[in-house]
Amino acid sequence: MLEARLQTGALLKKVLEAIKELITDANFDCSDNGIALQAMDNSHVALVALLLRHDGFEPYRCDRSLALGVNLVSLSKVLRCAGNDDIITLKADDTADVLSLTFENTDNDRISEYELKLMDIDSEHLGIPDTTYEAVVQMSSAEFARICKDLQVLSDSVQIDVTKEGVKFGAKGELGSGAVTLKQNGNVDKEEEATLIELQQNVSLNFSLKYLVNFTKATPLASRVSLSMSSEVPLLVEYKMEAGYIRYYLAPKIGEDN
Amino acid sequence: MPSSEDLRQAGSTRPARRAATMAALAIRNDAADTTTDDATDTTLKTTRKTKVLDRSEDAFAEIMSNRSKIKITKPQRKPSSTPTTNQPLLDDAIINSDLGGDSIPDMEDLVAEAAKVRISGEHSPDYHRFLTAASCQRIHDGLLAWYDINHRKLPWRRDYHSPVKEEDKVPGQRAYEVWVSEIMCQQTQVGTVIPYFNTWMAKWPTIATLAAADIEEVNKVWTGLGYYSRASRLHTGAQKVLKEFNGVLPSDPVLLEKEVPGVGRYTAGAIVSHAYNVPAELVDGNVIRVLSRLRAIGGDVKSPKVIDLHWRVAKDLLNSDRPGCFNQALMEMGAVVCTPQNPKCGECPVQSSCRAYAEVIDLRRSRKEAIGASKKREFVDDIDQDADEKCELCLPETETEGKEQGLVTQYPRKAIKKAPREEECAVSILERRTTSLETSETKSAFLLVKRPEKGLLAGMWEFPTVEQDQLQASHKISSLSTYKQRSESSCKYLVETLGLDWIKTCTDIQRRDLGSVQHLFSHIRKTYHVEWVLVQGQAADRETKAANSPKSKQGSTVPETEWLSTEKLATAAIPTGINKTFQLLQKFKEANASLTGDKRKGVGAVGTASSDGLGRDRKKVKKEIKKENDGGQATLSLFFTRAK
Repeated sequence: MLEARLQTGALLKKVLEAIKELITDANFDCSDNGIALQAMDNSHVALVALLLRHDGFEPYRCDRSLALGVNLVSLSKVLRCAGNDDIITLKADDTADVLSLTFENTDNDRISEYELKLMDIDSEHLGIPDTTYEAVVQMSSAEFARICKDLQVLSDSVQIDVTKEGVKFGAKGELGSGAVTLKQNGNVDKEEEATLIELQQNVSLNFSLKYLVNFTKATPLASRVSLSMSSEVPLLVEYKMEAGYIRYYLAPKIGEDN
Repeated sequence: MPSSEDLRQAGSTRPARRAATMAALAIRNDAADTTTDDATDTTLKTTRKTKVLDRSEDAFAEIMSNRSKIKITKPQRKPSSTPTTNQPLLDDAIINSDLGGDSIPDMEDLVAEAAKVRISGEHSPDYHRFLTAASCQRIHDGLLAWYDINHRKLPWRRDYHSPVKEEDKVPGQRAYEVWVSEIMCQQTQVGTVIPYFNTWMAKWPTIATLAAADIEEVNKVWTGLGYYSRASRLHTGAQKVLKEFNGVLPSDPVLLEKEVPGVGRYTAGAIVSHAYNVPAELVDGNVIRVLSRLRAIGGDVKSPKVIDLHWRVAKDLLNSDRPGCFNQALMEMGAVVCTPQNPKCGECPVQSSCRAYAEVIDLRRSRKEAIGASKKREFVDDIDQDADEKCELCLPETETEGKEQGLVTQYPRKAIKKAPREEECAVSILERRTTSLETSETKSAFLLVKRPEKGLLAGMWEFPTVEQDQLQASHKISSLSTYKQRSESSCKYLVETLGLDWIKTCTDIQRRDLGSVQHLFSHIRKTYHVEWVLVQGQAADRETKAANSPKSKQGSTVPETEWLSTEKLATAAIPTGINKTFQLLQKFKEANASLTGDKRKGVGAVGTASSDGLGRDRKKVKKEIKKENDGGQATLSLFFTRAK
């Protein structure tokens, strides 16, 4: 039995927007810790790991762990019926084959109820090793979104170079080439916009821009984003929310530059 | 025409002093044994007298002089100073008058001693003490006079301006107030404490009322002060005092410290000296600062020996007439005048006894006037012979800040923690893989080298490692190395130092850069760049024999080496840093293994450290990926293993 009431329904709407283009179907794994989701995209190049911790809901109740297989496109369509300020309640019985959603508006004079059929999904869970990354860049999420969008004009892949001075996003294509460099700064006035770098070692990696642009759909969820990188391991792009996170992993492009 | 000498003299604001100095100079030049000359003494006395007159308008000085009349019977000059001290005194007088300096004559002893310390670079432990009654007396008079005028008026103080109240006469009442105030003032600013203290005293005016109070209530009144254990200790302390000491805090500091919860050496000293006027010394942060400056104590204030010394100096200084006021004066001075940053030396009542200040004066003079310094040097050379005991506590000058600028804030000193230095080295994990003909089982062995018996990780085993200095020397670089340079160095090391000549000619050999790991020693941040060297097939078989009988070269000592199997390696005592490098290899092998498995079957391959995938070259794999995914896009299954 799951019952989770979310005060700001907009959060769930944003989360769905952030993952539905990467993944079509996925299991929401509900436990007493919260609601989690892990899934790879069809080509197994990118992975989404989502966690909505129990303390983000009021109340949150989940006596027994259960996996709710959902078609994300359908779920996002249903969520579009909810107003931005609505309170959303998710409910599911242990044996039921539907997920029920209730939307209440702030004046509490309009209540809508929907039920979404669940699916059986064979999910492949991946064990993600605890990695100490050689470079971790923290920056404005809007800035990251803009860079990915801008560079996509030139190429399908971006080379990210991190040094202690700053982080450089470079793209080369038939059209020409372009690069955006953000210098490491501790701008106190605009803490939200500062670019912070923790570096063990310089890194230089290539990634597909198509995926990165897809990740930036999570921008409305957090003002900051962190990019964690090590040579020849997947990039971790993390958006931290108040009670949870959304993490994207992206396998690098290997051997393109040699 | 008047000579230039006359002109200067006429323009001088202190003709009397000038004349005296001139006279002194003349005397010194003429007579060989000026040291006991009466004339010299008169010179000094005149100088002093003018000084006192200059400051007589000051209210503080007035009190000072009044006190002196009554109390001081001993001569002010330190008896310990030998007759020879007169000479540098003269020098200083001359320098002073030339610079128009305004230093206090009493100070000159200290300045001379400071010069001695500066030049000889060492001093006796006595330098940090107050050994004569006169020197203590000077501090007492200065501080108490200053305190009587300048002390802050605080609700728990009964001093010059806050006469004793009627209820204070109840035994133990003052002690209770002091106790509460001292506990409240721990880790908290005085300004914050005042309202809390007043509320507290209104609520629980006596120790008995506090003992009867409810702990919840106590915590409520304490709310906002923080460190709530202080409140509960006060509460339980009150109960204990009521039960065991009849509600009166003991006047023995040792007993207090032992019996009352939350009362340490400092608080015990404070309670008995403030409330019962028992002469007990106390040392807190303020006192440490004042004493370390007064006596130029340059040891690390965190070290127990130096803390001990401060307690001893505080004991030297104890005032038996007004111990409570004196202790408070010492702390108040530290809080108001002798502040951590920008101390107000101009307002200091005990400036003339301050060694830190004397050192500053000495340093300034020595810079302005080279002659004075050299004169002192001669004098120091004579004197220093009999100083046999030297102070061991003070930190070497190279490790202190503020010394160069000549500031009193160089005291108290803290030991500077050095940042770990960066070092890199090249590690080659040499793996020899042999296949037994009968069982067709593959066995791996790794070459280990014993570290030298001295230095870092002495006598421990490690993979062949080229240290940073060799690395930089052989490539004439001072910056970080590249893989190519490291590879060359490692190869050279294996062949030349370890005598593995066959490496040069071996054909079935693979080398791979595994990246690097970091390990933090207490003083070094070491980066291990790891290279994996794999020898297989015939070469490995053949070399087993050769390697087992290493040729010892004449003259040079070949480090001890040994081949260890994977299992033995797992149990061998290997330093953590080196273990990390081996884990790097394991990780790489795992990644490679799961990669080959996945590529073939597409599912189900679990990345174990099986040796199957090891022989495959990484480059071939890369090509395979390229064929399947356009643009070299790798998939996640190369990196993450299936959980189920």
